[in-house]
Amino acid sequence: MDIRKFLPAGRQVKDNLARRIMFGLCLFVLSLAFFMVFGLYQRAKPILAMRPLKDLLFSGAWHPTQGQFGLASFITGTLWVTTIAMGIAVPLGILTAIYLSEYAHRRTREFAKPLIDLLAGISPVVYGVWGVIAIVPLTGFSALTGGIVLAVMAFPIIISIVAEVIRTVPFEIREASSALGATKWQTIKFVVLKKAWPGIIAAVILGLSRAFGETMAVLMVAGCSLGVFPKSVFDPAYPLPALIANTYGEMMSIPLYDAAVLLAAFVLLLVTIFFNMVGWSILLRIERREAGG
Amino acid sequence: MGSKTHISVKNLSIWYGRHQALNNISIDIPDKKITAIIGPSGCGKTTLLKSFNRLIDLQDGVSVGGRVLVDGEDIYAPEIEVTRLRKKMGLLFQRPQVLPMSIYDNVAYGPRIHGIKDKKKLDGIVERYLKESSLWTEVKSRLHSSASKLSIGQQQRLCLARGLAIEPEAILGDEPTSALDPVSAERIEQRLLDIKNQYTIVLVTHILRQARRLADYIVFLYLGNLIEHGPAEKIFNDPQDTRTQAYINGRFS
Ligand SMILES: Nc1ncnc2c1ncn2[C@@H]1O[C@H](COP(=O)(O)OP(=O)(O)OP(=O)(O)O)[C@@H](O)[C@H]1O
Ligand SMILES: [Mg+2]
Repeated sequence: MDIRKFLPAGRQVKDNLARRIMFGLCLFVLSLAFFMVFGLYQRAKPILAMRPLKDLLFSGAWHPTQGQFGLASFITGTLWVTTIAMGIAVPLGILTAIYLSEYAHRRTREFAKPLIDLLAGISPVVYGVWGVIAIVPLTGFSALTGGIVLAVMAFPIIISIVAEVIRTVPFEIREASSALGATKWQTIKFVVLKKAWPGIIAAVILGLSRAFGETMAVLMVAGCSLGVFPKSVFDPAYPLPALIANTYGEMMSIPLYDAAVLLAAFVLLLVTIFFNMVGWSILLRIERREAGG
Repeated sequence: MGSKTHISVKNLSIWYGRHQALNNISIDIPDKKITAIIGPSGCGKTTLLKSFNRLIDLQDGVSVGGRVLVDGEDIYAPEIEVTRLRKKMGLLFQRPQVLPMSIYDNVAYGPRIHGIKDKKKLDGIVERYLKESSLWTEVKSRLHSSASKLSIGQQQRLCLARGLAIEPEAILGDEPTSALDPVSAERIEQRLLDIKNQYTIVLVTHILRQARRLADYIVFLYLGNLIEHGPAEKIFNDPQDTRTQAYINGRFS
C-alpha cells in the first residue's frame, strides 16, 4: 500500500520534491567519489603514459630531477606504519572494549567513555607532538614510531565502536550460554564476539582508514627522509600521504613531478577503496552466513 | 508424596536492589517429577526458577538470602562451581534463544564447553538429542546452516536439544511454550512428558490447563510469597487458600 495516495495534494507535491532532492544529493555524493577517482586518474595519466606502471610502483628510485619516480619506498612506508598501527591497535582495542563493556564496573565505564571520546577528537598535530616528545626518544624517527602514534590514534575509534557493538548483543543470548555452564570468557569468546563480529570488522576498517590516510602525525614522527628505503621498522618511513602533503605544489616546474604526486594520491585512493571493499565483502559474507544462505 | 527431593529451597528471599521479589520461600522440588510454578505476572516465578541454577547472579544488584540445596548441596556456598551447577540444569526460556551459530554447533555447544572434542562423539550427541527433542528429521539435511533460520517452534525444540545435550539432571522451563503456535507447544509438552522419568522438570507457566495436563506438583506464588504447594490433584481440586482458589478459578491472572 502506498500511503502517498492518502496525502492531500500539497503534501504529496512536497513529499515528491523532498524525495527528488534527497535522491539528487545522494547522486551528487556518489558522483563526487567517482569524479575523484576519475580526476586523479586523468592528472596522473601523463606519467603512466611515459613510464611503465611496474617501475612506478615497484622501483624505489625517487629522483624527480632525473625523471625517476619510483613510489615503492613510499608505498612500503605506508604499509609498515599501517601494519604496525593495526597490529597494536586491533588486539589492544578489542580487548579494552571487551574489558570495558563486560568486566568493568559501571563507574569505571562511565568514567572511561568520555575520556575515549575525547581522545578521538584530539587534533593529529597534538598526537604528532606527543609522538616526538614521548616516543621518538625511544624508537627514533622511524616507521615503528609512526605506527605506534597511529595505533594510539586508531585506538579510540576501535574501542568505542567495538564496545558499542558488544553492548547491542542481547542479554538473553549471554544468559542462554551461561545457562549451559559456559564461563564468562567462553560466553564472550564463542557467543558475544561471534554476534559482534561484523561490527568489529567495521571498527577495524574505520581504524585502518584513519591510520592509512593520516598525514600530519606521521609526517612529524616517521622520519620522512627521501632516499631511504624502509627495510625494517626501525628505518625512517615516508608514507604516501606525507609525501603528497609535503611536496604537492612545490617544484611543479620539474616535468612529470605533478603527475607523479597525483599518481601517489591515486594509489592511496585505490588502496583505501580496496581495503574498504575487502572489509565490506567480509562483512557481507558473514551477514549472509548468519542468515543461513 | 513419597518421592525424593531434588531441589530444596529453604527460606529463600531475593531482592533486586531494594525491591524484594521473593519473600522467605521454602519448598522441596521432587526428583523426576514435573513441578509447575504458577501465579500472576510479576509474582516472582522467573526469579525463583533462575535461582535454581544461579542464573539470577547475572542480574545487576541482586541479593539472595536463605539457601537452595541441589542434591543436598548448598548452591550459594562460596566453594560451589557455578558452571558445574548450571551444567546440571537445562534451561528453556520464554522465547527460544538460539546461539549465533549453526544448528549442529548449538547442540554441540554445551558438550564442547565441557570438554568433549571428539568429532564422532559430538556427531552422536547431536543426533541423539535432536532426535530426543523430535527435531532430527526436519534438520538432518541442514545441520550446518544457521539456527536462526528455523521457525520459532523448531528453535525452541533446538533449545531443548541443546539443554539435554549437557546431560542435565533437571530441566527448567520458563513458560517455554508461550511464544509458540499450538502445534509446536503441543510437541514441546509431549517431549516433556516423554522424558519426565529421566529428569526433574520445573515449569513456569501462565497456562493453567498446561499445568493441569503436565504437572505432578504445583507451587503457587503470589506477590513474592509462597501461598500454597502440593500435589497437582490436591491444588486443583481442593485448594486451601482463598487466593489459590481465586487464581485457579481464573478470577485474576
Ligand atoms: N532485573 C530486575 N531488576 C529489577 N526488578 C526485577 C528484575 N527482574 C524482575 N524484577 C521484578 O521482580 C518481580 C518478580 O519478577 P519475575 O520476573 O520473577 O516475575 P514473574 O512471575 O516471572 O512474572 P511474569 O509472569 O510476568 O514472567 C517483579 O516485580 C519484577 O518487576
Ligand atoms: Mg517470568
